[in-house]
Amino acid sequence: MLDQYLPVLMQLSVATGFAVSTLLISVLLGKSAKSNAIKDSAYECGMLPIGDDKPRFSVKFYVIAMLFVIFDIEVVFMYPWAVTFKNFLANGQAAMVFWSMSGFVGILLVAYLYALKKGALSWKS
Amino acid sequence: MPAYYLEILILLLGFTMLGIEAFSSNRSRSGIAVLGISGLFVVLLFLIIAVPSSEVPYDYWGIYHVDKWALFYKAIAILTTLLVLVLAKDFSSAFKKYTSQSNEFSGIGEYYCLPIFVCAGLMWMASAKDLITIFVSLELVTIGFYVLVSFMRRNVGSLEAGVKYLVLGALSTGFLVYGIAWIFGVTGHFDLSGIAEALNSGEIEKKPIIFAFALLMVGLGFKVAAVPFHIWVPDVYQGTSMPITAFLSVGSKAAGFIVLLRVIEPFLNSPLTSSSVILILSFLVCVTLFFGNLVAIKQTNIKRLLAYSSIAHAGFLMMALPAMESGFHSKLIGPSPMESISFYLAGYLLMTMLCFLVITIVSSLTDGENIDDLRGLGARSPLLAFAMLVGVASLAGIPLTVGFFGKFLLFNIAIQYAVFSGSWYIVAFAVLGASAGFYYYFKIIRAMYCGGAEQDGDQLALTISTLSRVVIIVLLAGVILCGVFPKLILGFL
Amino acid sequence: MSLLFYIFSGLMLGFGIMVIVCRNPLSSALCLVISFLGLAALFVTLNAYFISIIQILVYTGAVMVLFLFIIMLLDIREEKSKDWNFLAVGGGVVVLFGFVVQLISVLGGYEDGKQKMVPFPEDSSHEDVKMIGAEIFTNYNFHLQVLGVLLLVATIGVVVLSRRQGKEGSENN
Repeated sequence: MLDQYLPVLMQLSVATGFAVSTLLISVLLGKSAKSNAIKDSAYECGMLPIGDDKPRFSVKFYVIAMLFVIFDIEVVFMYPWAVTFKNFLANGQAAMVFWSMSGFVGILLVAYLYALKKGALSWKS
Repeated sequence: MPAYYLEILILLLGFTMLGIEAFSSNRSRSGIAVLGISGLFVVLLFLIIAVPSSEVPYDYWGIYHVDKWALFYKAIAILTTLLVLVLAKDFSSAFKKYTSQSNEFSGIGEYYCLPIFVCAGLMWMASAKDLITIFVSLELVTIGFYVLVSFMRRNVGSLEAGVKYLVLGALSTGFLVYGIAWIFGVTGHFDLSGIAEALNSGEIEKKPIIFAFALLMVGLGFKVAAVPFHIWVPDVYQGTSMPITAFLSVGSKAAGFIVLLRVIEPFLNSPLTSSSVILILSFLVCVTLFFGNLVAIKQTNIKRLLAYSSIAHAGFLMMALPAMESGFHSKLIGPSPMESISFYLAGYLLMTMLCFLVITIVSSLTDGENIDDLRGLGARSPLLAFAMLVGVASLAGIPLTVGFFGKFLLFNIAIQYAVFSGSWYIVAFAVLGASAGFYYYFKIIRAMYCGGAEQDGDQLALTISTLSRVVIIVLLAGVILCGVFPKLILGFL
Repeated sequence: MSLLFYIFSGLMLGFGIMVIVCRNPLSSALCLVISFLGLAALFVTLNAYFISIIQILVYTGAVMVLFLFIIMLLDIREEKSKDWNFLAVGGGVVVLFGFVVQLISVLGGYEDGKQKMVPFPEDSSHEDVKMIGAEIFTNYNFHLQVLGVLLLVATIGVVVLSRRQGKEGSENN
């Protein structure tokens, strides 16, 4: 039962505990320095920093990530298919199950070809 | 030909169109639209010769069935999609402005393809016999609409509509899934016949099943645009492109209603739930009729007006739902609630599409969507003005149009049901709504014929493509003929 | 057993609330990750191992990365305003309260619902992946195909809505 996962929980708490205690110790033992906004700002040869500190991502990452999610879902269905196929082979239902997956993958193949042809997967624009 | 091939044909059509869009070197995309329109027309012909039979292959067993209702709603889905493609073709010039300057990236090809896939989803919904099928096909339709609504991405209104539709749609889907889970938990069945059996077995408790039903109604009420789940309707209708507004208001609604009819039937026929279900439905009907019609009065944007009109029509349609109660069925004189709702939806398809076709043509030239932009249309283009006149008159329910006969059938049921159960308040709300309807639809007619034509506006020549002209005349004839001879539609039922 | 249930459901609900309360969208996204992890752990307590792994792979892995990308892409900043829209918050609380009361009254009607803790499934030896596979590819074959079409539509949506402008590739999104 779930008790067998107790080690997992213990490992989790050890990991979190380690991270938290390290941070705490460094705060407690380290010298506290006075800080203000000017001290914290980046030093760039005397120039005042302008603009953002966070880099902005290209929309291409987003497209790839979205397509990844879609094809990730496809793989989710392939996993139980692969595991159960032997059972179906024994039951004599293999043909139906094979075509079932072929249909699903076939439809997604259309999607893949479309995305490929439209250049959604190419990095250079 | 077995009827379950129809969806496969539609899918193949969609794949072909998508393939042409991706692989063709031809820049012009109007070929795709023509292919889509003619393909849908062919499938519609196939549908007529398709035999309604309960014999479906092994894997479809228990989840999919084809009866005359399913075929009728499949026909509505195909016809709607076909007309949407005609609209989209007319709209393409205005469309490019909002997507991209360069022709190549306008995405108009996908704009023609996506409705085809949505159509397949609508058709599966019409045949769905269990909650899982309903859910999966409904999601196909909804996701297609998420994309279509926000398609004009250079237009802030369209993006806003897309976000609103996405967020509220996801919320309603959550309610729907939660309701389905509850129904499965309580009855142990996904298929509707199993649910009906469980409801009549006397072994389940009332409270949880009513809770589940209420959750389902939230999800489905969103799809058919019933108050209080209508908040998305005006903004989304206004923001998105004209063909998609038409698609939402007809296709989404018709499919939502066939699902609603099938889902509430077991609940209405079970003595355990029927009284509470009737109470819930009566409440929804009254607020929908009241709110939809009265708020429509002060609208000036024509798409917003049609959005509230769409809510109001949902109210009229739902008026017949409580009358599906089994005790009342044998006492009813005239067409059954199912027949009346189907007739009304078919008529709604004709008249709404007629109006949208006219508005699309006018607005893609003058770029205005207010009622005032129709000013002087009677002088500029007698055909368009007459088509709009007939469409609007039919929406209002003036005699000799299909809208009148549809309202007549629904009022017939509502009044007989009021005699049976004493629910006269529904009839009162409906009369109030219908009379308010005369006022706000008349505003459009007055703008077209009586309003002084603005000098700069009517210089623009209204060119109508041959295809649109044919479609307008066919729809016009349909609205009038089906109003005079309602047997033309009732014969199919 | 029930201790673990309380830990994980507490984790899930607590971080779920944090998602809404946090003003920094990045913190919200990371709180959502932890909330999903708690949910996955709850699936394990129900012996639904496959669902649990999928929950982590698809939601915590893929979907959350997507969320983070969007946050980076749009460069969403910490919300400045701390003032609450009391009407919206009040409305939300009322709806939530009504829903919970409804749920309690419905669940209270069951014998199991009156117990403090529903018994967990005893037998954890069944192979849930095989059971899921046996259902999907026979009884739910049709739905799988519809799902394929749905994913196709989603792909079209992704490509169309995030399309770049013209050949210059100016990302004017």
